[in-house]
Order: sequence, then C-alpha cells, then structure tokens
Amino acid sequence: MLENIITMATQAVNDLSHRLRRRSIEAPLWERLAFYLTLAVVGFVSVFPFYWMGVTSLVDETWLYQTTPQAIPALADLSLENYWTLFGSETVPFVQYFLNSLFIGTVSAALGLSFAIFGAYSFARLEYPGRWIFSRGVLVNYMFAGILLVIPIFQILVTLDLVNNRLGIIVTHFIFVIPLGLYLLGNYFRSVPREIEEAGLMDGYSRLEVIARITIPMSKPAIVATYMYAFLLSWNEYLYASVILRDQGLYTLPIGIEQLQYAFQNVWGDVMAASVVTTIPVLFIFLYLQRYLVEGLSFGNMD
Amino acid sequence: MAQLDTHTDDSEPNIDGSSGYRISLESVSKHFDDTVAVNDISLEVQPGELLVFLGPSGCGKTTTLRMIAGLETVTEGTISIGTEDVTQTLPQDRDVSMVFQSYALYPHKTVRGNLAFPLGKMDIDDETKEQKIEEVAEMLEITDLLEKNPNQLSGGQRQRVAVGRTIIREPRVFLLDEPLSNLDAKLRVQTRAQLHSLQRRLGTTTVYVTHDQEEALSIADRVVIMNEGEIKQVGTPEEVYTNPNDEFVATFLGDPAINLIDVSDGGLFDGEVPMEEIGIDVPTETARIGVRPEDAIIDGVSTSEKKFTDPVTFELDVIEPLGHTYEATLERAGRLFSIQSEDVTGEPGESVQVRFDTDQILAFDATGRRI
Repeated sequence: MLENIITMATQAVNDLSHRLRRRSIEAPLWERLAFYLTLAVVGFVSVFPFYWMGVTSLVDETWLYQTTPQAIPALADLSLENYWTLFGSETVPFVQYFLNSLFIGTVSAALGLSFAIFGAYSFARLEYPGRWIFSRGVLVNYMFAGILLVIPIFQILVTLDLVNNRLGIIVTHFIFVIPLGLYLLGNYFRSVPREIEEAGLMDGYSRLEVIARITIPMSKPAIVATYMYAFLLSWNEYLYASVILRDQGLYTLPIGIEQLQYAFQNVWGDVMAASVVTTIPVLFIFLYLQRYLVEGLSFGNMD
Repeated sequence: MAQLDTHTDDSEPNIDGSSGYRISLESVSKHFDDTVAVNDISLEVQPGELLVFLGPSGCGKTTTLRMIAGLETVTEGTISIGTEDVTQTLPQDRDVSMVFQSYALYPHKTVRGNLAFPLGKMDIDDETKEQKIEEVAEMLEITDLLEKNPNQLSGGQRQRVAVGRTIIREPRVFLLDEPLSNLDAKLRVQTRAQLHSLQRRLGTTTVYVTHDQEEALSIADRVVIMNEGEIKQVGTPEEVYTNPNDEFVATFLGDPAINLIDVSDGGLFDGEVPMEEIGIDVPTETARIGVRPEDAIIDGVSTSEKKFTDPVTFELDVIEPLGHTYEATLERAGRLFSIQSEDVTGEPGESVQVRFDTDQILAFDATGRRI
C-alpha cells in the first residue's frame, strides 16, 4: 500500500519535472513568471469585485464597518438575512423588478432578433441600391454614446404616448438590439456557403423557405448567441430605463437596485444581495453562450 | 430505378426511346457590370443527351450552366426547356437539379435528410418517399450511410450523396458543375464511369461542366468547347479532337498539346524545310500547321500502313517512359516538338529524323482558323 503511494508519488514528480523541463524549452522562466503575474493581477482585479459583492451580501453591515477590515469573513458571520429582507420586503417589490426585466429582455431580444435575421440576410445575400450605406451605417450607431440619443428618443416616446410604459422600454431596447443583431448575423450568414442555399433553390424551395429550412438552422449558434447578447443588453440597461419608467411597479432590476438605498437603512447588504440575484442569470447565460461562441467561431470546417 | 415520368405533357421522344427534354439556348448573353461572361451563344441540347461544356477557367461555362439552372439571370436571349420558355422562371420552378462542385450537402441534415429534402416539395406520401430514398441509396451504394452526417463522409461518399439528391426527384434536366474535381485521380475515373452509365440508364438530358478534357471526351455525347464567353466548337469527342475548327480547340485538347509549326514561304522553320518537298500538301494561305504528338514518329521505328512525310531533322532532348508509351521532346531552332509513341529510338543530344502522318496534319491560317 505504502509502496504504491510512493511509486505513484515518484511517478507524479517525474512527470511534473518532465513537463516543466519540456515547457522550459518553449518559454524561458522569466517570461512565464511575467505572464502568470500579469494574469494574476488581471484575474484579481476582475474577480475581486464579484467576491466582495458576494461577501457583502452574506454579512451583517457591522462586519463591513469593523475597525480592522477583514478580507474573509468567519463562517459564523455569514447569514442569508439580506436575502430575506430583499424578498420579504413590503415596500420594495423586488420580485416584480425581476419579472419586469425578464419580460422586457425576452420580448425586446426576440423582436430585435426576428427583424435582424431578415435585415442581416439582405446585407449578406441580396443586392439592392443603398445596401452598402445601410450595412455600414449600422456600425455608426455604436459611435454615439447612448446618452446622446436620450432626448430624441424620449421625445419620440412622448409623441407615441409610450413614456412610463413597458412597450416604450421594449421599443427602446429593440432599437439598440437591431444593429448588434445585424452585425453579428450578417457576418455569420456570409460564412454560410452560397452553394448550399442554391442547392435548396434547386431542390424546389423558395428563397424564404431556404432561409427558414437551411440558413437559419445552419446559423443556430450565431442566432442563439445574438439572442443572448440582446437579452443581456436589455437586462443590464440602466440609462433609458431610468428615464422612461416612472412607476415603481414597472422598474427593471438596474433601477430597482438603485431604489433600494432609499428603502432600507443598512443598505449595502441588501444592494449586494440584489446584485447577486441580478448577476446569476447573466452568469448562466455566459456559461451557456460560451459553447455557442466557440461553435460559431469554428464554423466552416465542413471540409 | 424506374423512370417515373411526371412530365408527359410536353416530353419528346429520345433517340433510344426514353423520354428527355430538349434545352435550347438562343442568343444568350450574360454581362456582369462591364465584363461579358457569355457572349451571344446559341445551342440545342438534344433530349437524353449528355452534353459537356469544356473550357479553361473563366470561359463562361459555369455561368452558362447557372443560367440554365436559373441561378444567374440572363442579360439577353432566351432559354427553354422542352417547349417551355424558362428565361424568367425562378430556379425552384424550373424542375431541374444540380450537383455542385462543393457538393453543397446540407451539413445540419443526415444523408437521409439530404436525400429527402428535394422530395419535400413533391406531392407524394411518406411511404413513397421512403421507397425512393431506399432505391436511390441502393443504386448509389450509400444505404449504410443514410443515418450519418455529411461531415462524417469521405469525398467520394459525399459526391454520391450529392448525385443521389440530384436524381431522386427525377427532374427534367440534370446539371453537373465540375462534379468530380474534388476527388482524387483514381476515384475520379471510376466515378466518371458510374456517372456515365447512370445517365444512360436514366436517359435524362444532362449538362455537365468541366475543365478536364479527358473527363469531357470520355463521358460526353457531344462536347461544347468554350473560350472567352463564346462557343468555339460543338461536336462529338472524336470530331472536336481530330477535326478542330481552330487553333484554340486544337491546342486546348490533347496532352501533350498539339505541335504548332510556323509556315513561311511555303516551308517550315523559316523556309528551311520546304513543305512540298517533304510531302505536306496544305493550302497556300497556311500560316501554321499542327501535328499531334501521336501523329509523328521518329524515323527508324517500324511504320504501319499510314502515309508519312519525308523526314525532318530534329535534335532529341528527352525521352520519358510513361509505361505504356514514350513521350519524347525534340527541338529545332529553339522550338520544342513532342512525340508520343509506343516506340522511340535514339539518345538525348542526337539528331533524329521525324516523319508526320500526312493525313493528320492540320493547317491554320493567320487568324488561327482551320483551313
């Protein structure tokens, strides 16, 4: 038994030193150190805020204001108190915020995607005057800071009587989803071999049927990725939601979280609990999305 | 597979009795912006015929095929299939099918799904569909591949699935765009023969595009030689090879290429070899003569009963054995001359005497036209 462990350990050490030696051929030690150090700094900077968010949501406010701050709370300090406050609150309809965000994100992403599919297809495949202007103009949209358009869009919504209305915010998010969708899907559709669509035509299907039965199924990774990006865009959007929505019952999560500080006294724990709850769907979406992104990028390996 | 003809209304009888559709191109042109891809071509494809478009890349052969398919619009002229003018008909309504160079299989469908796809637009029940898929799969020997995805198949298997997808619908016309160019040499020859016999069996009018002359000559009922958007010659493989209209056709066909020798003052090689003296009888306006490598022999080897000219002196450069035959490269006055023969004599560097088969000498005028 002991002998086995020793043999295995020796084996492991040998393997490791072997691998280290092999790697040292690839890059010198200082280069690797610099690489890992940079990685560690970047990793810390990006991950620590999330960690602190999680910790803050699980401790009592007094722990945060200790004279000697601590990085890691003792197990005894942890509690789900903040979450109970959040979901049990009479004054803050947090669940309602969550549902509002979910509804607005789902609908605006779906709406945007269904328009973007046809627009992007036309950019990729059809020839018509002004196509170049349209397909490039889409990108110009991203050169404006979002705040520049607040007033024009608000005025349009006033005219349409859509201020303080879910439809108003859906339309606004839809406006921002469209260029993203056109850009992502346009590129992807271009990578679908023209001959495969032509084969569909030769097999007796109309252009629309070919799009529905060949182009869209073949572009599933890009379509899923675009939908999720679009959903996240709406889910995280603060500026327009804060301008357009007035009634508390209509609030989405980003403005809802902001409202928490007026509602509670020991505000940090609650705000962070709300942030955690808001982040979880994003996290899941990204984990899922990643698979499709890889699939989307490695597309075209038919031969 | 039985030929289920669903188009009896305007079908025409074929040479061997099976039904096929005539394809007519009348003064068809295709312009892409400023470039002329196809320039005023007129052509009849006979019912049941296998017609091959052959030409160098960019000669307009694929564009012509795509116009028949409806994938390119026609700038001028009309195209009809059977008695129907299809010039303005959408590709999906032409009832023709096509094998693409890349095969263009649907990557998200299995082989069965690929074969079933064209049947989706036909008014037949599921049982008939299944039966057709089984029949075609059996005919092309892809039955055990039916549940696989296209990316799991080899090049040859993909090619067969593409052919299967083309024939399963029993369309009026088959169009094949370089269907064998992605296969390796051995498989290409084998598949070529299979395609040929399949086309014979089905008796469906077929237009086939290739840049490979061997493929074209071996498979075609008739060959259309194209260059720079124009038809240079139409004829049986034998006709276009032995009886070319012009220098382009003569040089394009044949490997090694035909030997062209300039004629001046009634003699070859700057008049050094008077044609009359060695027994070449060509019109006076001849600017060049062409001799195919297999129509010349090195003096000294046994001659058959063919009539040969008197010998012309060349210097022997290289002899390459090709297994069943030899290929010799000769030189005179800086011009190369190749000979393909079962028997060659001589050592590199030596002077040899060459005789041409008098019946096979082709004469061209200054514009390259055959005279």
